[in-house]
Amino acid sequence: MSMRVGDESARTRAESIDPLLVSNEVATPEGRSEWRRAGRRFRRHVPAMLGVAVLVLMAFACFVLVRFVPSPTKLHLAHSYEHPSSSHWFGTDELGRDSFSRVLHGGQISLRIALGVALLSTVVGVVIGSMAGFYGGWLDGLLMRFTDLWIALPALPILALAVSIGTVDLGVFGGIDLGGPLGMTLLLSLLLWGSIARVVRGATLSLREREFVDASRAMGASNARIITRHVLPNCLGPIVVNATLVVAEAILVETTLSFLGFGIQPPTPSWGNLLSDAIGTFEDYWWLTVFPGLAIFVTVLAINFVGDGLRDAIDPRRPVRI
Amino acid sequence: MRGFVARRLLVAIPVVLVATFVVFLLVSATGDPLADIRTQPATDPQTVRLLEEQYHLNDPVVERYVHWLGDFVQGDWGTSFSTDRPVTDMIGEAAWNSFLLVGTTVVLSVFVALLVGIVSAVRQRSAFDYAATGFSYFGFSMPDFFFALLLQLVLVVWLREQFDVQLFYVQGKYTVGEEGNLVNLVQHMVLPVATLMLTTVAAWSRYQRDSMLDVLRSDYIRTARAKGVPRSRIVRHHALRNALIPFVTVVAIDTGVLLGGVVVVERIFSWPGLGLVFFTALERSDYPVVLAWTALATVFVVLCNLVADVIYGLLDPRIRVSRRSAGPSAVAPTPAASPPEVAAS
Amino acid sequence: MSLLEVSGLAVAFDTEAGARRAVDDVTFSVDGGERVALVGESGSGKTVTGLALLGLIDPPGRVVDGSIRFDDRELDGLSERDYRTIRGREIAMVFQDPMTALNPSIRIGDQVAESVLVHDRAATRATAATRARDLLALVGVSTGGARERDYPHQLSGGMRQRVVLAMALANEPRLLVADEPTTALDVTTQAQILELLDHLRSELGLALLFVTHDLGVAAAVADRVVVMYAGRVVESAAATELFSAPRHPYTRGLIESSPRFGTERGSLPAIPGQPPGLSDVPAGCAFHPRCGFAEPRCAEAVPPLESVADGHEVACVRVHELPAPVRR
Repeated sequence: MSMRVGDESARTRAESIDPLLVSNEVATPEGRSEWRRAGRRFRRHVPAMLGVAVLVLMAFACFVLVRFVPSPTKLHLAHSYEHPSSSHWFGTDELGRDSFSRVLHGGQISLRIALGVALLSTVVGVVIGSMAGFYGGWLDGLLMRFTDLWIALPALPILALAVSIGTVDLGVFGGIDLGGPLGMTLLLSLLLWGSIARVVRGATLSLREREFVDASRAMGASNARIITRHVLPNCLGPIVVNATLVVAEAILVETTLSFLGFGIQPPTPSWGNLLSDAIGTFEDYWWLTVFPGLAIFVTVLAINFVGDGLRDAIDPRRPVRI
Repeated sequence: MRGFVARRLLVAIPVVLVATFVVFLLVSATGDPLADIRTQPATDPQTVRLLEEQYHLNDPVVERYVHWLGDFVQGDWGTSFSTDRPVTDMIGEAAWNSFLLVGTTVVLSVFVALLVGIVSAVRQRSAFDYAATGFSYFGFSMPDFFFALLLQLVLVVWLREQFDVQLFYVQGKYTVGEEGNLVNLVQHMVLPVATLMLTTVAAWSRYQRDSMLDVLRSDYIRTARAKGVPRSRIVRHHALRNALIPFVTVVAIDTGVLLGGVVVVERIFSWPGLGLVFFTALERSDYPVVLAWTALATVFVVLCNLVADVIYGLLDPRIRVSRRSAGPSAVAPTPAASPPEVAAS
Repeated sequence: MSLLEVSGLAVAFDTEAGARRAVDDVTFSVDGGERVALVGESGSGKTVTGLALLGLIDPPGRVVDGSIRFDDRELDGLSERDYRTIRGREIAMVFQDPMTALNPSIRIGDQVAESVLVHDRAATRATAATRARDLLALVGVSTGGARERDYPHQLSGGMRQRVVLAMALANEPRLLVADEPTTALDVTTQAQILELLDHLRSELGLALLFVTHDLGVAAAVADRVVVMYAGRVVESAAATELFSAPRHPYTRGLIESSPRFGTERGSLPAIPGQPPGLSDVPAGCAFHPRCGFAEPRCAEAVPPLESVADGHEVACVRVHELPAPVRR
């Protein structure tokens, strides 16, 4: 499902690295030297390296530095609404809480969710896509039409609806709060697998016809084995690129939901709910909105750079952008 | 062509059914819609029983869904719990307002995106192309809600503080007392439309550029050049014709997606459209409104997809005109990129 | 004075590793009405040479050296505007893959008519359409069923190639560059197209530059053959002479490994190794690593083309020392 129009272009981008559309050959590098060459091309991609640097810094700040900053919940009523300064880099909020610390803690939540979503939705997408591509026929037609429409459904209202259910009981797994980090991860993963499914399907379709697949089938390998041992390793490249883009997408959806009040709930900070806390007073206390907003923007931008760099590295026949 | 549309329709119907059923399940799972009414001491138990009857609340969920679906298809969408108005009226009014935003956005975005996309493809690697690429990255990476805030900060707050002028408004559709004033309406629409356009222009211009580049790299463009066709005619006559087909399709699909995006913008700018209706209903557990709303949204998305398919079929002769000599026509998707031949034989 | 004189032509492509010459120091000529075949394996630079004649080399490629004289007029360095008056009118080109060479969303009649309209200012839409119908009939696309209103996808590969041919012949050009026009077709269609091509050529009196990797095709269509290897001309001679008495070891290898010219039945000695890529062309004679007659000096300098007989040129330093080929 998609939250915004850009996602249709996520679909476009998915297509643009869909090996079937680029050529009849799978664009994934095969063999070690190809991967090494792709690695070299990636290291030469200036925006991508910039993106990597930003992400490393961001991860360091949100997962390491975060342990050395004041507690995000510690109140200092005497220091409410302080401008950014050397003691409070991003200023303080109404209750005197350190905004820098809250942005880092919020980032930790947002990044964790996004990474979890990338992992889970890749699994879902790979299963659905490889089934569609490998078995073909009516199953393929049905699954792909379904994927098309799923990608286009209005994600935000449906997610908001799901979150408002609150806690669901999942039997052995216990109760899960759909508005909490874990519930959020599960919900978003259920919604964002579409582009990966398409890419994997495309790659599987073209790989299915290749000799090594025939060869292993002749040797009696099961379909599951052929898919996991032969097909998937050969479309690893497009999968990685798409998983990267899903991280960006997940950050945008989660922060938007939290901003609207249907995601991570305060006092747990997330980049989204930090902004919604501050929206009423943003004219006077700009730092409370600008810093969390910039954090989202910079992170997503960096991920997009890395994603494009990966794509150019894996499929050098496409002209290098930027 | 007719068979093509029929096949698409055939898949669309089950998708609508599945999607509305899932929505129905979600809504039922949000809890007892009558909880508020029950706890009010003044409520007559008879009223509660009547309501339960009316909404079939004691039946199993599948039965309830079938009842609801029957009513929904016949245009009976029920009455809002919170406003006591017919849901059709509430949604109809809001839909018009949302349409105003989405329609304006789509028209303006198509215009800008086509222009930007074509120019950056024709002048690939020019300063303009790089600027457009930079803008696209900006659009892809900027959350709408943050962009809306930045726009307000600069175009409203800063303008007011520095120059004491109020060019744009950030709340609602009209200033109180100015209802029906077109200028006032436009002043209210600029910021929400600009916010929506950020993503659409970024996405669509990029799409048009890539599709145009794919076409420009294709063999038949080389054939046209070998014929001596002037470049301007190649772009207009040979390339655009083929590059527009996927573009129009994407615009149709994205118009459905915009509905999901408009809820955020409407909430930020208190625009009295569908998004505002939805969130208000959701916060008040207004069960009939939420249900009708989500069902409609799903139908709308599926419809947009269908329109996209039909347009594609109409524009692409490979689908419109069936093959004469060979067997069943293999539907070719977007023009495939032919890899640039560096070491051509 | 030949109709077309190419001398010292060099085309470079910018690659990740720097500029590389796909075509280097290529010299040959085509007389009016003459049929010349440009033969080479894929990657030998023959298609690039053909494209260069029409000024269709796009970045990252560019013509870096040499001259292309057509009808005593220098084409290299011509402005895009001036080149347009040459393309399709003086020199026309037919491409390899008819499946992709036609615009999928324009009716074939309109695509042919466009060739007329672009160059003939006096033509109206109506006269161009009539001319297009005549041309389609000429190339054997029957117009009885209003075929000119068909889209390319409605035609078979052979029919599409005929349409491409009709477009190329629309302005009765003096030179037709045909780049592997039959490679993508099945054998029967191939023969039909070749026959049609030769028929039209003699009827319209145009010169033909036939680019191919197939010696058999070259033997069937050409008066003269130019053999290319790794971007350079290695041998050029009259067709009969070349096939009966090839002098360059590469040409010999090609002929011996071709079923139609091989000496013994059943054994086709292939040339060992692979032709070099754009970025790993060997020093000296580019063929020397694969050559059975190679000596250390072959790697020292690029051998120049030298005349060994009337109209027969070879680029090999050992050409006079090699055992004379058996005349067949």
